[in-house]
Amino acid sequence: MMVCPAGKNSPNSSLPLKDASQGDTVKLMDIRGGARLQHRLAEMGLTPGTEFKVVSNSRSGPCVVLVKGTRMMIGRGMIDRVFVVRV
Amino acid sequence: MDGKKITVALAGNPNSGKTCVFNAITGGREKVGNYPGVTVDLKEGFTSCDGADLRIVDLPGTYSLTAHSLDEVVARNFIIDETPDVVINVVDSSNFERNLYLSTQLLELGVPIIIALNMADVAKSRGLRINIPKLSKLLGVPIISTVASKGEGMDELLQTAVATANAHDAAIGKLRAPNYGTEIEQHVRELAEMAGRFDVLSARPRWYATKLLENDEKTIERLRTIVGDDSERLDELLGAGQKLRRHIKGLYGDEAEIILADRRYGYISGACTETIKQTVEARHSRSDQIDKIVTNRILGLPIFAAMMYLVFQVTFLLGNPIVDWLDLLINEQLIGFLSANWGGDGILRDLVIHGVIAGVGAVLVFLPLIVLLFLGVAFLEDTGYMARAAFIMDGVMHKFGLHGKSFIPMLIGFGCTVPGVMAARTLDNRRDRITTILVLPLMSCGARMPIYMLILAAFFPAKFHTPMLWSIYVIGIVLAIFCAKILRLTVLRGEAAPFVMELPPYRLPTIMGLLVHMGERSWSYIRKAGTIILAASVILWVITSYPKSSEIERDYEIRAAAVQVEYQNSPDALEAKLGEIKAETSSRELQYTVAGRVGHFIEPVLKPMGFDWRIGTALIGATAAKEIFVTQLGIVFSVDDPDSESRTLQEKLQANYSPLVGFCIMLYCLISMPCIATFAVTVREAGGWKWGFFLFGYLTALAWIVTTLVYQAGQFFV
Repeated sequence: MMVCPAGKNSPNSSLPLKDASQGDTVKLMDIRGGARLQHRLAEMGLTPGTEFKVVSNSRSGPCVVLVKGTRMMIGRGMIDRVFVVRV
Repeated sequence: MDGKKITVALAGNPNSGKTCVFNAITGGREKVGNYPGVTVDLKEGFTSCDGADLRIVDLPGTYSLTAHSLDEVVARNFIIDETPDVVINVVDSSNFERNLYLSTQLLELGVPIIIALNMADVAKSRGLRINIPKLSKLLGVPIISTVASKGEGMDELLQTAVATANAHDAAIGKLRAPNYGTEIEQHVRELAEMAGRFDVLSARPRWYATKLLENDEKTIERLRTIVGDDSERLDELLGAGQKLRRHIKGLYGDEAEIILADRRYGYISGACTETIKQTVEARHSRSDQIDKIVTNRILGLPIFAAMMYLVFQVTFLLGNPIVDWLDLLINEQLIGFLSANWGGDGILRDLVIHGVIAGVGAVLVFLPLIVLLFLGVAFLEDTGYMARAAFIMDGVMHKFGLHGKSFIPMLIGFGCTVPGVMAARTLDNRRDRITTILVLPLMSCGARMPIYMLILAAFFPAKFHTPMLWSIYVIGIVLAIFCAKILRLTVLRGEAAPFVMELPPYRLPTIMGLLVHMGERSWSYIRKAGTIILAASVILWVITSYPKSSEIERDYEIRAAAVQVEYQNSPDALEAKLGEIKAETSSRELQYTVAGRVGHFIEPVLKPMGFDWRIGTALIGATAAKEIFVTQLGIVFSVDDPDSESRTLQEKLQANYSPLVGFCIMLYCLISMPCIATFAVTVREAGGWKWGFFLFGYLTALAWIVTTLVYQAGQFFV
């Protein structure tokens, strides 16, 4: 059986934000999107290497993160494209 | 310095309490100024302090000064073009780091700045201690602690503003723009030095340097216009910018704009660690608890639907009695009074009574409904629920190629399309914004209500009124969704912008805030009534009254005289016969006027929808403003007594048309061409005449197709 390299058992490899759980503190690694999207997020405080907290992330509600003291909602379409590692 | 005039611009993030500061300073008295070169209305208010007259300009709330959204472009262009004497940067002290990002960009603009550290009370209750003198020294700007909702710190803020403006150059000299770190800082300086050699850029070389490094398209465009005559040197400057961008990307692996953003946050974080002490951990516990319920995947939508229902219910429940009262006051008492007491039958009298009052009155009567709806929207916005609702709607909206935030303009569109279009400015993606604007007229605005009311009352029993009214609204929403999808697949192809939005903590709105919010939007509706509708009423009255035919008049006199002889022994029959002739004459007169002729001319196109030339003339009126349809239909049918109440108009409609035609009128008016005000605001906000004409064309075509289908199909069943 193949083991997924980004599986939950390997703490140091990056995972999409949608797989992070509530209460995790994570570090932003990569945003797989256009330059514009990256810039927009950078201006909201999400630059590569930034650590932030996942306030809530469940299938039943929005993904809310705490970045530099501000709560931000991130749409479901985007949480697949933001890659983080757990800290 | 007596009577010295000082312009103060207010800049800050959304939710920073900027509006609150504006209201506290100006006492909520504002006017919407229109600036040449700036495509957007800015709010301004006036006050005085220390012998100086202050003009306070409220810039749109933004997170940064990048050219991503129209709001940001407006804010920064104001500072660059109008060079205010001082900028007050309102910073939410409980949300410090994020808010200072904008400040770092303002520092680069080279204008005197004051920071209003707002919501000092909230920060204190969260255990934040900010060392203000130290922070002030680090950034090189005066900092005043304020609680705008209670008016605290406002006097000091204004005094500092005046003092800073008076010491303009010294204040600029003290500014400490962020340092980007040895490597990048060196490049920024190189580029700034090159930019500084152009006279027109020398006031803020550092700003242009960073914008060139960020590859800011709007700035590059601007540079091409302002230094157009020296294109060789400009190309050199732009080339140097591109070269340095590549260099930075090679060094750090990310685009320069990301690195610059990162460094700005780094600079802020450095300033924060030196000046902020957090004694208790910040908590949002209550907001989080509420959010668990209202943003829940299963409960979220029903709660949202219930909220919307409540808003509309309250609007109609409180609004309808006022509407009835106003209707009575304007359309019966005022017109009745004038008709009775203004002797003679001069042109002016007719124009004022049947043109101006009937036309503008028809619009103003519905003002209470619109004001109440805007009050409801302002309440939802100010509490912070709107941000949650945008998220809840994002899933649904996304499927149709719209953005979660699109629903806010749409909700406002139910009141009046014009402020709805303006509310679309908060969408950062151009395609999202234009799609939203293009489908907005399908949200049935308050101005269409009089049409529905008239038709429903004329053709359908009372128990069907509410469900039919709702169905019209639903048809509009369904069509909007359908059109958005089609637009996204054709003319506005491209990916919808991703959803990222700040989640503000829930707040209890202030009464002043609610009133100001509501007032702004209501005002644009009233302004429409006072200008476009007034003008349209006059024009319409003219085209439905002229040219007059002396032949028809003579004919009438001859026939009337003949009848009088014939029926001289039975007064009842005489009166009936005279009325008949008079009605026939009026109808002929109308057909002789410009409106009648145009109506006849377009009749073949209207036939498939079941409309005749009389409805045609009313539709021409509806182009000026939807509600004029009713006025115009009234004029067309008011053959013997223009002052008749709408009950008689209803009876006349009933006698002339079938309920199917009635329904088709509602349908056509829902979909068809937008009013002139919507056309104008679309041209302005979407950025081009082509969008205005596109909107006009596609909606009219859609209305014709849908109405024709319904009418033709309907004939088989009725």
